[in-house]
Amino acid sequence: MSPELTTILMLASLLVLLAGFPIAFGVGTVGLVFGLITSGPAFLYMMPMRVMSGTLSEYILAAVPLFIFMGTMMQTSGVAERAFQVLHKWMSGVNGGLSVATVILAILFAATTGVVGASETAIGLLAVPAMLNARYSQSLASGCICAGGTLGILIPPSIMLILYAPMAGVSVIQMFAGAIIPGLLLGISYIAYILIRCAINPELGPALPPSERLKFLSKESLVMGFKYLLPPSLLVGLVLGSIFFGVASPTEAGAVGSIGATLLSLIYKQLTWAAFKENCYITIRITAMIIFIALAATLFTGAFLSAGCGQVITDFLLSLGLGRWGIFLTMLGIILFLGMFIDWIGILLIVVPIFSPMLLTLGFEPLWVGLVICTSLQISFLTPPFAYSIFYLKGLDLGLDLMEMYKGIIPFVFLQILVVILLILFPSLCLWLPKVLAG
Amino acid sequence: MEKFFRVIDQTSTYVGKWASFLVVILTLAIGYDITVRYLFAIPNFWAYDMTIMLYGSYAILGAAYCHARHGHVRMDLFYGKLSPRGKAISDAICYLFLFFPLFIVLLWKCGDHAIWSLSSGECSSASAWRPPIGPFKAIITFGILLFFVQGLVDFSRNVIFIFKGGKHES
Repeated sequence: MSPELTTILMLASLLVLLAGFPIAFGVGTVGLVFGLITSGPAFLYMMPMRVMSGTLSEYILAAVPLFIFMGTMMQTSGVAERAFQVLHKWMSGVNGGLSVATVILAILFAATTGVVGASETAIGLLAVPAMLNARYSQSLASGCICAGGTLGILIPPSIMLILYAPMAGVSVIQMFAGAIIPGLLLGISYIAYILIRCAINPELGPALPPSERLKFLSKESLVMGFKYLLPPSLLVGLVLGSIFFGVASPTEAGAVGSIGATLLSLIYKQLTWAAFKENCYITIRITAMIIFIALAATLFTGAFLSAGCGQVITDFLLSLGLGRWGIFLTMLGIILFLGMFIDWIGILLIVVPIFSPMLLTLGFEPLWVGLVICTSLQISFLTPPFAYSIFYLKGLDLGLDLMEMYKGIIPFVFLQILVVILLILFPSLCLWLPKVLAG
Repeated sequence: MEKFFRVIDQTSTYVGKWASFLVVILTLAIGYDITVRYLFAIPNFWAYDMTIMLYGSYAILGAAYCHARHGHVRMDLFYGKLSPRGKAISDAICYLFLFFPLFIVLLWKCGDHAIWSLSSGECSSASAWRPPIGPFKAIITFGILLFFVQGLVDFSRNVIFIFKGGKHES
């Protein structure tokens, strides 16, 4: 395949995305046209294979609806409200404590929902009014919710990792294990930042009066913790534990999680038939949207890779004298740039299958590449003009000022970049846990 | 005309809503499989293929419903700034070039393959169970067909809106 054709293909796909038509259709069409040009009728013969025996028959992708369903059920169960009550009281004595409670809640919730919108909506509705009542600054309140909410796409079980793994030929279990430390590292850096910032300037997040505090070691606090924090934590432990100890495949663990979340909603008496139906309807719509992009993307990447475009780009980048690290950083830069405009599903399914084989030929560890890319995609949620996290938060209509929201997320974007740099400098942050689990 | 469109909308929505309960069946099937496997040490030969077929049917049968609710993500950097008429024109053109060719080829090729699979009695080779896989492929083709028709309806609505104005929902 000639460099000219590769350039045309890249430009055509960019143009198609800019048209504002659902990206699945555009991407699939570009794939079809270029498949026909480069492979001729053989590409047509391949299509049902890729669609019917490929994407729609991928066992691991069956985990996608299951984890989405689990997330909607967790939301119905109201565990977030209950957990926040406890965390809120424990932390309220510290300057910035409510924001810290919010991030901890986000980490907990991240482990139960794989989709950013779901966890951010639930947490935002709870935590924003609480923080504003306590006279926290708007920018800190919105920043910690946007940043915390995006953790949901990284901390396992996460839909992003499930989609990434089969494309890059790595195991979902290893990706799940590897994402834990980067996810926690992000969470801890957010908490540290909030505490330091509020210690220097208590007006950003003043501590609550003693009457509203709850001693950590008191009977009431233990009972509340036991009733409200333990059940969801146990469920998370069960789901992740069964995956890591090889008892269940991620797909099976998704079913276990769905059953557990449904039981939680029953125990807390929140489950109505209407809520149950609505959860089913939302789940199939989100699943269909994601899977159809995946389906179109296999047509695109199939045409792209079988025509040898990947090699053309690699050769081109190497001829620029960038070296392997230069190429790696360029690709990361492209992902971050695209992240300002397209949401992560598009980037993940279209760009990653093109980049990851190239990085493989350059000798990078595939698991590490995957985790660095997935952590970087966190940033795409917070970067304007298309900061999806801010859109979700704005959609909740909680009376936050848009400028304050943008101001609030800037420090968190820097923290995310910092964590990505750490992961690049110290690959064992990603690779240690998977290695331990593999024995 | 609008009456006919609404029938299609409702068909997609009914199919999608009914199919949405497949996730419950999938959950219960896997739950049953795990229980029986670990508590009674009985392996289930059907679990793997069943999971795949339920998932595949689920995902494709929801696609038209998702489209009827405008659920497929767009990159609305410029699109979001267009007037309703501008959006309708942009969509109508995109349908002609980016939707119909792809879906006609998908329908043709997948339909062909599904018919072959049904008539030749093709069996799954994913596990030892080896169930016939034709019906599953027929369901996928049906899902694509429904999606295609839903797209045709949306396209026609856009065209009518461009020339006649009136109400536009997207």
